[in-house]
Amino acid sequence: MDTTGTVEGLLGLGILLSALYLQSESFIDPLASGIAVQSLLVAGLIGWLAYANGSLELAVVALLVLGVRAILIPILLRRQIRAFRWRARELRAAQRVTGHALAAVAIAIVAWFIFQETLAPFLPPIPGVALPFVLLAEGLLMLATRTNTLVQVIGYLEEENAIVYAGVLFVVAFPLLIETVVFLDVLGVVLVSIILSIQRNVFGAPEEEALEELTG
Amino acid sequence: MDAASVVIVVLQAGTVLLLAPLVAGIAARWKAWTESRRGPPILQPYLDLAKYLRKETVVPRGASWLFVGAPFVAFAAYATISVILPIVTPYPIPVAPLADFLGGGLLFGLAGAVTLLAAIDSSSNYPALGASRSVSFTAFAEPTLIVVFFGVALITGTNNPYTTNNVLAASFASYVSPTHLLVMAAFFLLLLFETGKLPVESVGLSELGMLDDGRTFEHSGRLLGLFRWNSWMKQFLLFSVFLNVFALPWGMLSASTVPAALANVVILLGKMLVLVAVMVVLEATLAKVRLFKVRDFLALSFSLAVLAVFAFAVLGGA
Amino acid sequence: MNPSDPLLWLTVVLVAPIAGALLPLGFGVVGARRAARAASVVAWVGAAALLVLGANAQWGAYFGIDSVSDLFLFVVASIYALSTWHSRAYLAAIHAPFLTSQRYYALLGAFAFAMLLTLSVSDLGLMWIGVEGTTIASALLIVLERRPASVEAAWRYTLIASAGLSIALFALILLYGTTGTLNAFELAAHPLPLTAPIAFAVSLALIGYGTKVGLFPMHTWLPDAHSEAPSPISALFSGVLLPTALYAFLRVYDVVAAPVPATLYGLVVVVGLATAVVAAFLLQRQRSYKRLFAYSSMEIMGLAVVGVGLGGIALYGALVLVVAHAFAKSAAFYTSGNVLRHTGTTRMEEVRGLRTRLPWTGATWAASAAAVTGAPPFGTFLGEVLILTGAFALGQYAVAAALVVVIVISFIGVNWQIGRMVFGSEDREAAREAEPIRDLGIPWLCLGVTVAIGVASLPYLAPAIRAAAMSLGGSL
Repeated sequence: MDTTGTVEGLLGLGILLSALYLQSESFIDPLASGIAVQSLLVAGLIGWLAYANGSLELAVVALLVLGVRAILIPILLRRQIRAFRWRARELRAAQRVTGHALAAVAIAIVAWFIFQETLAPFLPPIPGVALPFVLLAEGLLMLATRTNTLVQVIGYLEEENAIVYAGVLFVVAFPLLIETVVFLDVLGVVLVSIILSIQRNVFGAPEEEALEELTG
Repeated sequence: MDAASVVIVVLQAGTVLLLAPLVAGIAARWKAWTESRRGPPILQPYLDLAKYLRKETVVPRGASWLFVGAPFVAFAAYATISVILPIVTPYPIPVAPLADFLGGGLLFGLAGAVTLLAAIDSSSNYPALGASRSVSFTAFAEPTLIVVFFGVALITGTNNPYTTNNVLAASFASYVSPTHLLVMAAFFLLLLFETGKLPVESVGLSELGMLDDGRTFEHSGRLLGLFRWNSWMKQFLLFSVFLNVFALPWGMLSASTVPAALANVVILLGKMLVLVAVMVVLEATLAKVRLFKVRDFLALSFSLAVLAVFAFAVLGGA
Repeated sequence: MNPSDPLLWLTVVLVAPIAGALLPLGFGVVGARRAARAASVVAWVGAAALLVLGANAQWGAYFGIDSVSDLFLFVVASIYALSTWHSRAYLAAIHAPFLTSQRYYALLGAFAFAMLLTLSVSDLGLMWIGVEGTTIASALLIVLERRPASVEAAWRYTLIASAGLSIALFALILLYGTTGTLNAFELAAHPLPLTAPIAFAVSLALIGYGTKVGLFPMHTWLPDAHSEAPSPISALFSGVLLPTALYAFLRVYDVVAAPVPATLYGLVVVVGLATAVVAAFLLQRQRSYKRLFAYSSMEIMGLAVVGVGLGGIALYGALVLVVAHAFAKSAAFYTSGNVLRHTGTTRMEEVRGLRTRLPWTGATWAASAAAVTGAPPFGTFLGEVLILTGAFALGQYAVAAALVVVIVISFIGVNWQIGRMVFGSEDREAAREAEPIRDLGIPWLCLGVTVAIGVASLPYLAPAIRAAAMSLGGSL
């Protein structure tokens, strides 16, 4: 096995494991660290590809992912739970660790089968080429199954990571890649900082509530 | 089968039978250090064993032959496993083809099953409770073990522990392949569960959280002694599989001579001390999880094992 | 400065809303309103000029418009201008400390800019950025009032829409990986056979942009966002945001070579039909009239997507329906805002006897409800008939039957509920209240445009029906 394959394989493994971890963890604080680690791995992978291909554009993308998603957004997320950092937790998820972990594994396998049946023949046979799609499915699973808004933000960030991952893996350089990455990140920051802080002021705690006005 | 081979087979079986209590004793001693106690002497397990063998054996009224026979069957199962794994040689010893990984797994299962049956046969409430408790978790552990074997088979193309050892020792790329790393992690978690370590289980006189020992409340004297010995052997065997097959496959002398095999015993003991140290650190730093969280722990181990197979398909193994 | 140069007018269309977003921040309440109104009218003039010129041109790698863009640009600019002019009534009545006129108009301009940008670019990646931009601006508009329900609605909207758009971006990456370009016009000029990755990309785009269009089952954000947004913004949501997202999908759908294989267009038709059916049944049991209109929009979008899937005359019908609906639904939402200000509630069972209390508002409302559900004099009716004709022309009788059922059910549902509020009587006779007739001018303008669209499209109906009849085996 060549070095590139090994590096891509190991980083891909880390990303896969981080997705499993994010789906089964219920405390917010370690989840923020988890998404930081995942972003770090994605940034590392892009950085490696930038180094291997000698691409400056990819290097910039790697730095952006590193700076915004691995550092800035986790800090912003932690600020949301500053007052109750060690207690911030999605209680419902805490009781369903087994279910969430097995669901993460199951959805990964399903996504892989879909990928294998439809896209795999048309993409370069590099190790982990199915992973962006799997990661996208994991992010969607997280958005669908978790109720805490901060956890949902983390699910959304996972999806963003999947997009960037796909952008560098499926095609060597997606046009407008930097622009879209920046845009996704701006959106992430806007999401996290503005709406969440308003939500905290209005509701008191970032837990989704059923409002009578919004039913039907 | 020449004389050297016979000696090596006997040496391997003897290593497991006789050194298992020693490893348990070292572990107990070191664990005591982390708790600022002096702890029992390292040879305490041998002394315990001698004591049990001298004590009177009481069999509950109504218990059948199963109650008495179970420790012996389990002992025989572990003794058989001890000659099929790469413990003192990196090459298969003459009796090794008795069983592969799967066969070894089945023998482990047999030992566990008869212990359970004996617990139920005692017609006492406490062991039956312990049995049902342990079986409700083992049900989650067994699939993990099977999938771990699948993962190993994917890397090496065979279910033979010796081949696995050779492949991993020879190829670093195989060693760092995602599949192997995940299999190793899953097996390590399983190891914590099977050998009754924190955060799954804490063993002690006043512990209600114990899983394994809960099944042997009604046994006494020689029968209890055998059960103790069994559990030490089980730990020793699982440790050696983990070390010699998965984690540290290197460093075994491959010459088929008795001195080389003896040297391998020493090397294995050295590796095992490292593992024991790791376990002691884990036990000192981790808190026990609540009983119902044990299922989550095992689900995580299972997920890792499945991901190992998955990673082979997605990331490619080597 | 050549007035027949489309680039000039496109620049006007894009620069005016930016000015409309920035200028209000530097003025007081009155100045902000005037600046925003001026900018919106300038943008409308530009879009109208493009429509009149029938602009069809490309500039550089990123910008380009054709007749479809012209049409959508005009509709967006129109509703933008109408909403801006109608906002005064809303702002005068609302008292939320965080919501100032300046912020409101600035975000409104940004929202319009994002939509106009989406419609004037040729690069699918940039188009995606435009659609995503609409999410940010509009979510902030919903959150401005800072009531618990509106914050929650904004949250759900942002999260679901962004998640859906991530899928759309994924589709674009796949598309680029397969074709090597993201220029919509280039792709449309050289349509591709339907290979697996293309089919996969188009399906993902249907899910992704479909989230923003409000297609079942990704529609859950839609009623929340529509009902919690200020009424002028609800009109923009319903009337033009959903069509803008549909436009983005159309551009991706265009990539596939002309006779679209049955598997793909079947998927589009099924998704559209499912959306329409679900919306038609959900709107029956709503308790808030703004949610009622939201589900009605969802139903119309479902019909439009069916039209897109069927193609041909049905696609034409879909465009007529979407354009006419934009104006009709705007009238409905503007009037809803007036009703909300007078009654103080969005719950339908608490609103009765508008005929005596607010006769003019009630009449406008009833007319708008008829318009959005496709009553005969309005353009929406013609759009629905054309889609039905298209379904018959293709021999899709089951689809046609389902469409008829959906249209009838939603027509009865919406008009019955609105009718009860307008004509139903209260226990005690209510006195007639003072109503600002001035606020009703814009809704009536919208309704007039809707009728005009119907009349203008009428000549196309006969040939369409003739074609349908021919394809059914008739002869003339």
